[in-house]
Amino acid sequence: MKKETRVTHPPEIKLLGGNVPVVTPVYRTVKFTFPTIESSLSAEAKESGFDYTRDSNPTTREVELTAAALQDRDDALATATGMAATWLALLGNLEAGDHAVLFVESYRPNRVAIRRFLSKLGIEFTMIGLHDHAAIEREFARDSTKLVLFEAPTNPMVQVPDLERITALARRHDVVTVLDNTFAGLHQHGRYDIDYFVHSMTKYASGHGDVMGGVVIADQKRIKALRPLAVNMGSTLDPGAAFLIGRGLKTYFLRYRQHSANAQAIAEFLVKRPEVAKVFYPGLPSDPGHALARKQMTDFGGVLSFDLRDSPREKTWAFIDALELFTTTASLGSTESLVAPAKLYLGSDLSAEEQKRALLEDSTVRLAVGIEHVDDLIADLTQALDKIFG
Amino acid sequence: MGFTTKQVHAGVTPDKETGSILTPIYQATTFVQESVDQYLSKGFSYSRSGNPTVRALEQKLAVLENGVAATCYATGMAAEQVVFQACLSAGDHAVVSDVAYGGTYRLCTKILARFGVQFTFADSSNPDAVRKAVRDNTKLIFTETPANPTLKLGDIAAISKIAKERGIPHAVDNTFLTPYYQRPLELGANISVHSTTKYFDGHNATVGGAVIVDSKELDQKIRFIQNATGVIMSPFVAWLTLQGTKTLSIRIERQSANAQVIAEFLESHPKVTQVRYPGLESFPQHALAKSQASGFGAMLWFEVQGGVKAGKKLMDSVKLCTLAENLGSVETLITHPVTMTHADVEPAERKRVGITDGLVRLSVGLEDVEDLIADLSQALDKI
Repeated sequence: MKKETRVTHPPEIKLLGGNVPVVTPVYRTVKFTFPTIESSLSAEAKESGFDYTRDSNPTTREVELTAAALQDRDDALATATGMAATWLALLGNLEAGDHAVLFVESYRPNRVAIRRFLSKLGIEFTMIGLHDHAAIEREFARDSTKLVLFEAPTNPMVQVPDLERITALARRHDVVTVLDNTFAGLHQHGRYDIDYFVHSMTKYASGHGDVMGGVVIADQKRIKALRPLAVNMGSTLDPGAAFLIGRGLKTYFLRYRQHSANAQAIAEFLVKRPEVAKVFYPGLPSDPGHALARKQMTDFGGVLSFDLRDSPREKTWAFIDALELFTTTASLGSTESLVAPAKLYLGSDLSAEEQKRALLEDSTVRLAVGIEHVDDLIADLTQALDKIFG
Repeated sequence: MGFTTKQVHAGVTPDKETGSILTPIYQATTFVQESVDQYLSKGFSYSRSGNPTVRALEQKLAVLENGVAATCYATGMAAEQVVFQACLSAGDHAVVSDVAYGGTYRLCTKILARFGVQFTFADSSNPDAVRKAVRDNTKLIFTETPANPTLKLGDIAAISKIAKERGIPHAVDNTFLTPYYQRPLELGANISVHSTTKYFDGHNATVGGAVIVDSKELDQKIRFIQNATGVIMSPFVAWLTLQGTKTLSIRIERQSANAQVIAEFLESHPKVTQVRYPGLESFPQHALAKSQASGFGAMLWFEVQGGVKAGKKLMDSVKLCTLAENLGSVETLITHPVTMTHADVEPAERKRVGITDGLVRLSVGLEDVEDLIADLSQALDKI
């Protein structure tokens, strides 16, 4: 073989039987091949073979199956971002003339997906309140209602939906349930009758703020039906990103529980502060969603929001700017603590009246609590409160 | 500031150009100088001499070990090698733990000895033995505590005192406990050496090393060798290690808690003749383990009835515990030092330092401890 050929056909490295890497490699390859055309057409090859990385890749597949196992389902489909996962679940289940239900308390890009974009494709929608069960029943009962997109808990005001009630209603009226479960994490809510879970794996799944990714998790039948759309849209997760997410998943439980413990301590600290008018965190016994959260969840997550007392926009922003350990930015679920002006970052698509219904005020601050030492985080909040309100 | 806060934030500041919250992977060989006069004004010239991603990790590690400066390397052995080279010349002598890692023993006897450096392998669990081993030309004391795999401890403060009296540095391989549990520089040592491959990375994804020192002078000597020999850490490995370090404390805490439960299980198992874990009351240096470290770590060893044959059977029967070298990662790994990590050490030397033929080393991971015990239990039943 000439050297010019050798560089594109490097010597093959054969791994002896049983001599395998402990960590799945990054399969940095676009294509996979079979020894013969015949073998590529076998039932086994079609079922679990690999062909083209836009379709599937072993590094990515490992993340998909891990996510599915954590969410108590048997299959999953990984995507380039969390929004790509939401879009897949929506596009795979809706067509022109269908009606979708969404909630005013939802994550802004989830609302935007339906209100601004899907509406252009002939899909109708109604935006109601998450706790308005009469409206939920009314909207689900409409013949054209095909799908509901919701979150548990919601971003940013950590509102807790009644999963048993909503899923029972949806089943009765044949409405497809798509739950953005990013806040609760991969290990919670699996026992509820949800058709599709979607997650931003950018958050707790990867956990280190270094990679974007998403996943749709459902039973095998649903994922199989969705995969051709994913392959055609090309919203595939890159194997390099999949590797980092897989690496993050190994400390998932340690991190999620540390985030939750820190958030709980901070919520308990904030309710005692006179400068704080109201704290939103399902782990607080005083939170209206607490009883429901206790029934549905074991860990309450790392995000909490709170309203500063008598704090117009400028004062709220000054408070956020005064924080030193909390970095001002969107996103959540990473090792570093983050802070965001909730209304500015997550409510800009809503009218003033809708913002009120979504609990977004000029005084609202969202914290995405990291895994630092909680004493340091509380000290930082204390100095910022003292500085701005003292 | 708490350790867990420092492990997330130390060394990392948002990127000035873009605000990226993480230090970028500066995958560049060379750094443009604005003018001849301003050479090195931004701190970097060529990635062998220094790289911003690697520098961020170096700063983080220096803070975590409570040191003055740190340098990072391609592997843990590269880090050790640089310490030896920075401290020793032909005709010099070093006292090294007799229970040091097999790779250290090999570096000393097979490589550095060829260049006229002399070594005494002393019982570092006994400060008097270390004191007796020191000669006029001794220029370094190098210990490892807990040692790999025997878990013998060296009294860091007592040995550091001996080094200080002689005006020579004491270097401690702190890989097994990490600065979360043990900070040698606070106990009087001058150099802390790490294989970052272990707990800092923690995910079995990289190989790397680090040296943390207590003075600018030592750092300069070490940096000189780092740059001259070029055994540097790559920016990508530094970035992965920066990320891994953010969960160091929560990983090692859980791994240590698992190790304690497993050690107690093994100690009460009829087929196990001996268990060594610093957290066991029966551990010969349990008091020292408690006084110089704030945790016992996640490494343990045990011996099963029936010697090598039974040990091999056990290792071939485990399913969840993976038969692989390395330690400190999220996966539980099981090894047989005599045939794996310490194969290069002569049988007589192995015997002398307590590495018996049936010794099985366990690096306890993050799995659910009940699953690990079930796995060990079924494997022990097969013996």
